[in-house]
Parts: sequence; structure tokens; C-alpha cells
Amino acid sequence: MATGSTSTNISELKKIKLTSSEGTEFVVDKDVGEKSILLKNMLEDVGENDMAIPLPNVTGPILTKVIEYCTHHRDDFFISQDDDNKKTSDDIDEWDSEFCKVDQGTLFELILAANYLDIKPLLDLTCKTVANMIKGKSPEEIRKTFNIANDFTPEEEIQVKRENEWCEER
Amino acid sequence: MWRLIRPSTRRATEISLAAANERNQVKTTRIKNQEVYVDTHEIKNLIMPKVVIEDLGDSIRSAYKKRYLDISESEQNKKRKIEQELSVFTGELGENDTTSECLATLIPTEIFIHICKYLPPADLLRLSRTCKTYRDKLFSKESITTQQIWSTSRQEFLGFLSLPPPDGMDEISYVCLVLERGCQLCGAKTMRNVYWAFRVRLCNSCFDKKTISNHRLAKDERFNGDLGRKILSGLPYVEATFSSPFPGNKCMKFKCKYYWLEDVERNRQEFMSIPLLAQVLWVNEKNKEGARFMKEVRTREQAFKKELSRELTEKKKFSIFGRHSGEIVATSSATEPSSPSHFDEGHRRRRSSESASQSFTSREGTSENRKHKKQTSKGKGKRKSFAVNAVQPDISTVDEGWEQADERYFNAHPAAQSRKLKRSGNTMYRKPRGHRTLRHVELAPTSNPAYSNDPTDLEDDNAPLPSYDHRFPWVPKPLHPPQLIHATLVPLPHNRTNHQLISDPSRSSIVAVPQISRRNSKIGPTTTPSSNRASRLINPKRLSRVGSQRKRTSIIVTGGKRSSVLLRRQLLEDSIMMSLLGGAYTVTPRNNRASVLLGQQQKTVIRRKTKKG
Repeated sequence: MATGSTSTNISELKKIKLTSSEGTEFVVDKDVGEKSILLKNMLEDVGENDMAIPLPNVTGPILTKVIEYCTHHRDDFFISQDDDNKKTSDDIDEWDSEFCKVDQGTLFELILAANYLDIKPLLDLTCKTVANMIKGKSPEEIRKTFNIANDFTPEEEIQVKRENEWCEER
Repeated sequence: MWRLIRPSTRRATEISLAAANERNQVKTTRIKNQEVYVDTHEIKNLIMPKVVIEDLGDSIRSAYKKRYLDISESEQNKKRKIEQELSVFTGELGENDTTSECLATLIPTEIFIHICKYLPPADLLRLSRTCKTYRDKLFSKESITTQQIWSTSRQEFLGFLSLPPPDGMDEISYVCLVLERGCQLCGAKTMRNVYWAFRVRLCNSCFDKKTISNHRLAKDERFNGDLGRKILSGLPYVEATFSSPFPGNKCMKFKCKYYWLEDVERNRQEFMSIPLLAQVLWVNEKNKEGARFMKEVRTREQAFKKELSRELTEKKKFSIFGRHSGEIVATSSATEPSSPSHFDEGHRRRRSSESASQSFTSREGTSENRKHKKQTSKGKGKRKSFAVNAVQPDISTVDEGWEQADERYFNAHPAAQSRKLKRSGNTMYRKPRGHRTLRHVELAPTSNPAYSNDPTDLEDDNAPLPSYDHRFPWVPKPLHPPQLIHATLVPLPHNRTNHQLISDPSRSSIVAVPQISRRNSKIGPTTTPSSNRASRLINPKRLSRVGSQRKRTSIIVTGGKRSSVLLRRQLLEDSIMMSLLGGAYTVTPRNNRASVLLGQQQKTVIRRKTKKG
């Protein structure tokens, strides 16, 4: 509530309504909503309108998460994302890593929502998290983590194993 | 839920919202493939009441979460129903239901690519082994996206592989070629010899099978002379030093080029098929192409070598710290690290031939010898320890100064030692300077009997080099001409003819007997030549080599008690006796005496040492 009260006059004017896939309505500040490039473009196109924006790809809980993220980073100035080529997956700050401690279903839905809503930093963050889950693990471990069924036939598996034995040595 | 409307399987389900038409047009142009409108009116009727959140303060959010996330069972069922209905609506989704448990494999490709951006190649390979979906995504060699995934990962995580893959090679095999270990033909393990010219990783035996040197080719009449040179023009090659063992344990070293056999054959056929007039043109073209190719190969080789040496130094650092505590170091051959930088064929062969002789000496060596070995083999493995072995002093002749020097020498820090050894090492371990022509034939140091110090080494009895006594007056002359022992004990090569003469008893006695007396009279310390004589005879060309051998020369200074001398003398006597008396003579009692003598001598030496220490 504290954040809302500081800029009462302006923020009260700028609210947008979002509807998740179940039809749940969310009312958020405009600057929070505009973290999403999709919404930003949409609002530009539509102009001032009282109508709720339907987001059929995003469920309620996920939208809550997304809004949580956007609210936390509302003051961050996202630098033009194409320029920073930092592809190391280690530089995740504390709040973000805490934010990503969710079950896998949620994580993947978050990725999809971020992709759909076009929130680049969130997409980067979640993808990094998934990459960190994969890193340094043997294929069997990866399968376990992501609950992937091993659909290779035994012969195929032997062949595949022979093809890249070296990753076991490291 | 996302699955229902994920972009790949999504079908356009048009919106029926009020202002939809206008919006729709605008949006679909702006964000392609991202947009699908589902008729939400229907769903609204089915689901929970509207929840309006004014602001996402903490308290409200938690309340909302409580309400929303702890959905009761009936509500979940409701949800499922909607899902099913929607799946009918959007179609196709029912098929995926069997594998729907693993979300990870169902993520759209664009997101998969995004995740792969953060993964190094090793992890990508491991990921490709988990299931077919990933394998298809990561191993389809035609797909451009796959290539992109690999190339971004390579550029990001493998700095030394910044060059794009060579023509006709895809990203995956490029990365595999560099990172994998083991021979690509026979599957031999733990080596990383990448031959960039052939774009293949081979073990040494496979390399021999698959390639042919230009010298060997020259012997083939089809490739003789000028014709051969034309055929080979423009082919990629690997340069290496070849050492051919000759009878008498002498080795020749020279550089030669190894060509890929199939390349040679293909080029030959091509060359034969074209008309005579076009041949010059063909050769020119090939040469140009080949020069470009080899230039590229060299840059790749350099980058790769650099990387390998970096890895090796890292490993070495680790191994020095790791092995300090360990007491036992096994025989030197076991401690050799997987040494990938041995592009040099000659070194490899030499090494293998000498490892045999070396392990022999190490078995026979004295305790002191072993101690040295232990210290040295810590750091660098076989190469170094061999160099040390060569300098190893004969116990009976070492004077005090020598011993101290040795002490300093061997107790030094491993790193410092390696530096020292690199400089003063055997000539054959030094890097060859510039190009050596074939004329420059060098005798390998092992062929010189003066270096060997092993009492049981029968090569001692080979003839010394003819140039020896002329050029190095300060080096003690061998004390005696080659001796003759019993013919059965001489390991002569089979093609030598004079072997018959030696085995002739009358001849041998004539030759051998005076030698004994002569040697007996000559025993004593070395006569160092007067300075003026030395200066007169210095050959500046040879000086550099003298430095490395000087230490060894003192080994030959033999006292009367030297074990090898004793043994040899005895063998000689025995052989003479045997040749004179035939079968009537028995060797056993004398042999016993010899071994006793040997034992005594060793004991005395050890005692002397302990007193000092």
C-alpha cells in the first residue's frame, strides 16, 4: 500500500485491468503493466479505455506471479536488452532467485507467460534458472529433475552413449 | 493451461469481444504468432467468481493466494473440465496427453533456444542424450536453429574456438572434434590428438594406418620424382619428425609430411584423368587452394595447442599439490599424464622404444637411482625422469663435490627442476631449430655406449664412435678397444658377417688376451688434457653439445672396483676359458664370486654414504 500512497494522484488515474484465462480480473498500475511490451503496445493502440484486457494464455496464479515481479522491478530501468550480452547464468540477484523458487510447472508457465507478455528480463531470469537446473548434470539426473521419460531404445542409447562419452569424464 | 494455447498447435480462434475487430488487426501485425483470442465469455460462466485486486500489497496478495491457490477439489475438477472442453475447441491437444507429465519436453522451440543460450556445449551434449525430443532438436545437422544454438554456445563458452568451423563441417562435429577424447576410428581412450589438416582425432596407430609420409611415397614408383610432387600438390599434410631405427641402435631423425591416404589416391586419379595440357593449371590451382587451407589449419592448430597447454598447466598445478603428500610413485610410465601435445611423431616413437630400456634400468637401478626418480617423476612424468636418469652418477666414482651438486640438483623444487632440465636436457628433447634437411643426420645419444652405465648392458661393448677421441680430448677416452666376449652373449644384428670370426675360438683368444693386460695397466683417474691442447681442439660447432654431456663423462671414469668392469672381465675370462677348454669348463663358482663381489661393493658404498649423511 505504501507504494500506492506515494504517487496517489498520478497512479490512480492510470490503472489497467487484466483478465486472466479463467476470467479473473486484475487491476494494476499502468507503469507496472507496461513492463510487458505486449500490454504496452496494446495500450498505445487502444488508448484510454476502461475495458479489461484479456490474457487468455495466462492463468490467475501465474499472472499474480508476473505482477509480483513487475511490481518489484517497477522502478528498474530495463536497459535495451539487445545490448547486454551477458549470458552467464550466475548473476541472479537474491530477490530474483527467491522468486524463482517455485515448482517446475509454475516455472515453465512463468516462462511461457513472460514470453507471451514479452517481458524480457523475466524471460531471461526464468530461462537462466532452468539452465542452472540443467548445468553439470548427467543425462540421468536431468531426466530425473524434469521428469523426462527415456524414450530411447537400448540400441539407440548405446549408440548415443558412445557418441559422447567424454562428457562423463569431466 | 498454456498447453492449450501454445503457439505451435494453436489454431486461430477468433475473438468475439466488442471492439475486437479493430484491435485484432493492429495487434496481429505487431506481434505475430503471439496472439490468439479465445472466447472468454463461455469460460467466465464456468469459473469462480471475479476477484478484483485493487493493489498488490502483501496482505492482499497473500489473501488472494490463499483463496486462489488452495482451490477445492470440486473447483479443480471444474478446471479440468474447462481444459478438456477447450482442448476440443483448439484440437490436436489430446494426442499429447500421454507425455504431458514432462513439461520440459513440450516447451516451444523458441524458448528452448533461449534456455540453450545459457548452456555450455558439454551440457548441451548431455541434454541431447536425455530423450528423443531434445536429440532431434540438438542433433539435426541440417537445421539452422540447431547450428545457431551450438554456435552461440561455442562462442560464449569456448573462447579459443572463436573461428567458425571449417568449410563443410557443421557446428556439432566441430565442437565434438575439439572437446571429445579418444580415437575416432578405433575408440582408444584419453587422447586428444586433433589433426586439423585432416579434421580428425586419431590415435597414433590409426594415424600410421591412415596416412603415408612423403618419403614412403617417394619409394613407390607411381609417385616417383616430379610426378609425385605434382600429385601431392595442394593436399593437406601433417608435418612430423620421423625417426627410423637402424640396426646397431642408431636412430635417424628427419622431418617429413604425412598425407591422408585417401586424399592421395583421389588426387592421383584426378590427375591422371585430366589432359596433359591442363595439368599445369590444375597443379597451380591446387597449390593455391592448399596454401590457403594450410594457413587456416595452422591458425587453428595454434589456438588449439594454446588451449591444451593451458589445460595442461592447470592440471599440473593441481597434480603438484595433489601428489606432494603421496609417497609412492609408480614406475615412470604410469605417471605420464595424457600428453596431447605430442604432435611430434618422432618423439613418440623414440619414447616408446626407450620406455622399455628405461624401465629395465629402473628395475636394476640402485636405491639412490630410485630415489631420484621418485622426486623427479612427481612433476612431469616420463620425459623428465628420463633426462635425470641419463645424468645419473655411478656410485663408485662420485666424489664429494659431485654428490653435493647432485643433492642440490635433485632436491630442488620440482618447478625449478623442470626449468633446469629443459635447458640442459638431452638434445633430442629440445625443440628442433628451424628446418632440418635430410642431410643433417644426427646420431641419437643412446647409441653412444659411453652414456650407458648399466653393468648388465651389453651395448657397452659396441665400438665407440670414431670421432670421439679426436674431438674431445678432455673427455676420457674409452679405456679399451671393444672387447669380445663369448659369441652367445653378444647381441649382434643378424646381418653382420664378422660374427663368424668372433665365435672362432682361436681368433678371439688372440684378440682378447692382450686387451686384458693393457686395460689393467691403464686403470686410473682420467687424464684431463692440458689447456692449450683443449683450446686448440675445440670445435665450436660441437661446443653446445658438450655442455650437456659433460656430466655424463665422469661416469666413465672407472676405478678397478667398478662393478661393470669386474663383471665384464669375468665374463671375458670365462669366455676365453670356455673357448679353450670347451664343455669341460664350468662357470658357476666364478659367477658366485662375482655376485658376492658386487654385493660387497654396493654395501660399502651405502655405508660410506650414511656416515656422511
